[in-house]
Amino acid sequence: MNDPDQDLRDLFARQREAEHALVPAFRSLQRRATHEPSARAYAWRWALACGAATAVALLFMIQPAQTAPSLTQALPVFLPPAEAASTWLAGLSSSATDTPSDFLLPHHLQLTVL
Amino acid sequence: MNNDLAANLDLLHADAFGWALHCCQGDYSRAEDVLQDAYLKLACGRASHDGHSTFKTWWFGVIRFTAQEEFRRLRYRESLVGRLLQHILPTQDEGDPRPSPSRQIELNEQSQHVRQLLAQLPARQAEVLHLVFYQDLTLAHAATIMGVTIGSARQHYERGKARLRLLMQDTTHPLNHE
Repeated sequence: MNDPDQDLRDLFARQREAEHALVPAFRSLQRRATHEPSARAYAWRWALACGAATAVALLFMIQPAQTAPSLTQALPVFLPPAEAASTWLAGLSSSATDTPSDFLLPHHLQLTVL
Repeated sequence: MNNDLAANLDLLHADAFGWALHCCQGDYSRAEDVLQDAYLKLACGRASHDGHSTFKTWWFGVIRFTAQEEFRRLRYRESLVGRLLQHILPTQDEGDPRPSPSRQIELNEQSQHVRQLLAQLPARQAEVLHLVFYQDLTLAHAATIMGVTIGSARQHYERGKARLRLLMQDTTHPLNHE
């Protein structure tokens, strides 16, 4: 009995024969599947690494910024406060400014702070 | 992967590759990737045969599903966001999707000819014809793999056959076009 679809069967049989000659070896594909990480696994690794880096960056950004001390606190005191300046200047009397070597100077050169 | 399973897969390997090749529209390297991913699913236990259908039917269903996943990934990679991400994060070399020149020569004219004919049919019709004539499966098995009812599979089968014959006549009688 003739198969009405014999023409199609022959067509596909020829295709099958041609493609079977090109099939990659089963063992190589199986080995690649079980031993080598797939492209997706690489993509996941990249995604995880990027996620971790983003999380670390966010942690640093979210941390409250430490308030820097004001200059008056940070710098050492070289001069007395402004309110004490008047008393400090008043304390500069002639006796305070006299130095022990003044007597070596000629008399007309001796200065007196008023 | 146990020895029995590996032996079964080895027996079906050539047909499975032919099916993967069909699911990937004849793209040789994509078919290899799809089949490799399907093997990986088995090796990782992400897919296992539950005995509801024959092993071949189930395995071809897994390959079909894997090819659809691969196709979605391909579309994503081709999308704007995907291309941008690929530019920023270069992934592993995925190779040229086309077969190498030597492979192109090996894929003989007959195989390409049938593929070109099937490409002119609706996807379902091409699928059922491949499963029935190339893989020598019954319509019921083909319907299970395709995830459609047997009635629907039969309809695709009959329409596909009629249309394929018309296309074959057109190609064997090129003067018909003139």
